[in-house]
Amino acid sequence: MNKRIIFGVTIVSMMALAAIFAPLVATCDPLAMDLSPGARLQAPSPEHLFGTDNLGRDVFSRMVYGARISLSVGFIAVFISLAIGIFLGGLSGYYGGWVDGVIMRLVEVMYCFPTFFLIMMVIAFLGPNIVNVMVVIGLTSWAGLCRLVRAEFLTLRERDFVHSAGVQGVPDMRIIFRHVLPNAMAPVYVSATLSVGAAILVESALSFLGLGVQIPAPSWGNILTAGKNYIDYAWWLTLFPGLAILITVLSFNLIGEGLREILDPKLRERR
Amino acid sequence: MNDKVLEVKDLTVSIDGRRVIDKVDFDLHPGRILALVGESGSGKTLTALAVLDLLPMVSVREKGEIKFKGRNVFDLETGEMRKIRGDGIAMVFQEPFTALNPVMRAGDQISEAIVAHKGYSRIRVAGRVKELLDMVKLSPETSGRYPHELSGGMRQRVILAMALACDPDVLILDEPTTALDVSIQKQILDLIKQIQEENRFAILFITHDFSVVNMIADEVCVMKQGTVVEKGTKEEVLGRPRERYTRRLISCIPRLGDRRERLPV
Amino acid sequence: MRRYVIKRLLLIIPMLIGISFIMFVVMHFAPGDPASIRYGLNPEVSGSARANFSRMYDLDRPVLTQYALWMRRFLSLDFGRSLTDDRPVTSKILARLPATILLQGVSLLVIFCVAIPIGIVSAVRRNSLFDRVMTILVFIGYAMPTFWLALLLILLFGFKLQWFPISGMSPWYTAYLDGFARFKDLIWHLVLPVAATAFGALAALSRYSRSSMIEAMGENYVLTARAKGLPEKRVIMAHVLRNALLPIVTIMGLTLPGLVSGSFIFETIFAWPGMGRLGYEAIMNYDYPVVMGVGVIATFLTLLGIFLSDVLYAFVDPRIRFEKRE
Repeated sequence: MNKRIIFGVTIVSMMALAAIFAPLVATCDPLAMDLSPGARLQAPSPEHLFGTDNLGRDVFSRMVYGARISLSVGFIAVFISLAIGIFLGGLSGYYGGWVDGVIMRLVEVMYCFPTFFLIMMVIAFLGPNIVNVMVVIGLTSWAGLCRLVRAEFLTLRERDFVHSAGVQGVPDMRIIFRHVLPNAMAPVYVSATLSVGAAILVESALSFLGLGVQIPAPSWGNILTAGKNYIDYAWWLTLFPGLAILITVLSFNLIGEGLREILDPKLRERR
Repeated sequence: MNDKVLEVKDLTVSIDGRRVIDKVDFDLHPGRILALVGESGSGKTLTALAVLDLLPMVSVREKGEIKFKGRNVFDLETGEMRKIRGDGIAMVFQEPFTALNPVMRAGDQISEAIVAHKGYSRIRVAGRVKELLDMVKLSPETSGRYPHELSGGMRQRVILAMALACDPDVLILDEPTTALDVSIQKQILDLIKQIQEENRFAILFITHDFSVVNMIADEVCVMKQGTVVEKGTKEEVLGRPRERYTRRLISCIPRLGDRRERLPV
Repeated sequence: MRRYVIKRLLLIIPMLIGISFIMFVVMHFAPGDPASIRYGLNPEVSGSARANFSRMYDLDRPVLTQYALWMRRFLSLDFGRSLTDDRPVTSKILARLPATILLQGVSLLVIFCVAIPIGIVSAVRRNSLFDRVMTILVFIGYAMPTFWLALLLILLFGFKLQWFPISGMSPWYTAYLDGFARFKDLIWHLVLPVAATAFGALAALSRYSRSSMIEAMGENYVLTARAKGLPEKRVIMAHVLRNALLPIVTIMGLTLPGLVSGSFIFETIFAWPGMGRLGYEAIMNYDYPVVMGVGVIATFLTLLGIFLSDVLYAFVDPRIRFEKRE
């Protein structure tokens, strides 16, 4: 196991644990405002590790709860896009013909969308909440995975074990999902891991713009929104959430790259 | 006949600890063709690359020298060696398709070496290119074409023209006909022999095919796993092979008159 | 090849139609209508005034009809009137478009002029200090939330160091400046937005250039070139680079969609008077006509980028451009 994966997994686990056990890790109530003089916009101190925001709330605690948002959006959005991408990619690669044609057309259309604009539109009009964010991100990012799975299926389809299963009368769906798919998964793991990072970036951008998690609920993105207005004074509102996003996405990318290194030579051997 | 234009002495090279060239020894004379024969992996191509000092970075030269016109190739500075490549010693590589730059016209690729080594005027270069195309029996329009527009045989002739561009003293041919049709093979081999008769350079001809050796070689050097196992004139090696390995390689040549049995269908 | 180009060009039209339809439908599934949103809390606006408002903007007709009406107007390049200030959408967009094009154009220029050389040098001097530093920067670049980078740039260069202005395209006193001073001022205003916008694509493109170069360097014709005794510089420039550039040129077109997406964020952060910011504000204000107008333009730019990347490749690769002439 190489260094990258170990490092990445460590960080992600730490974040995940902090997120799951947020009530225990957070030092204060993330929603507790303190408007008394001097309590707002405090610089980092032993009491408030990352300082306080414009309403006197403890930034560290808000960030711990924000980790819940980022990680859950990342995982669930990617899960949705995996589900769609694998399903459509598998069908497309296995059957070929008009099924492949239709699905590939659909993929092309997805690529042509101004994706971020569309996401903004949908969330603004359907209501900015975390579920919508997860679903919309998931629904707009399956195209890449679809192509990947399709490519794998196109090669695997010609292999003997697939032919023999077909000859034995195994129903198509079963062939696809129980026989071919497990062998196609290697590049999907890599891509999915990298997609989690991308999803987190999109969520934080949306929250920053006011189109994601709404205040007072904390998200790394919306802490940065508050920070924008006090940027010259309260640098801690800008530095820490951004750093958290950076480190988290970086960790996922490290895991992805590490997986790629491990799985790639195996891929070549298999061929 | 006795002035050796290229001498390879006791050449030993290893990669990753493994000896890929082991105490290899042979000489080239002007006007003669030495065939370097062996199966794939025997170190033939690496030996050729060593002559040009183009071995991959990971290789370690343990000992030996390669003397071109008396000067040891490994003692030369980078700039001096660069001048010899293409001008004194030229090489034709194996795959005609991938050896040509796909986005450069054939004529430009032929003239490149001339431009780099000789300070000819543009007109003179163009004239030389036409001369070379003529030599390899290609039409002058070929110089304006891209590699993908040419057939395999044509591409191999272009590569030959590229190698002959600066009138080298030594020509190394690495399996020049392996990727081609049998009928075209003979054409190319005849062409090579004819050009050599006109220009008297020394040829190192690398191949794994003894029938080709038979058609073209004057001297033969058989390599197996990095070492030379047999060396001599064509008549000696093909007529009275000493080593069992050599005999086995020779026996692989299909001969006219062999009884062929049809497989029951 | 000409047929290929025309075919790709023609495909843009149905794509545009399809995508705009989807956008239109998405918009109209939003709960609440613009009338209530604008006037709902205002007791002075009577029910009939609101109904008039709806009728005026065709908001009371079924979705498909609305789309058909919109389509008809669209074909004469009329996007309707904005719901916020009743100005024609087309003129609103046209007023803002130059600023966006300026920002994206300069960003594209910066991206190509910086990323490709970095990639080339990284490949030629593989594993050197330069290459390793660049690799680390690229890795961070992939993980960096670019809007955060924008904020950091503002913090550092705008506030702490006070080198560059942090918002807008021109100061209020721009009318008092003469030509050259105005130009210089414009450049000054462009620096931070361009830096933020270009960063993400810089990382990706430099990485891609590097891999493309490395792959080209391993090709047989490079060995042939070296065997001809050509100077290393010529080997790299004429042989490696000319081939490595082919896939890079393809990718060039694909940076455009990324820039379009980014424009909504960066123009808002830097208060740049461009179409992106217009689109963002329109979304927040439920200004449907403007949203559709901006959406169509954004889609068009995205399609343009994809089209360019398809076509440029066919143009630059002689294997595709010159069909066999035998």
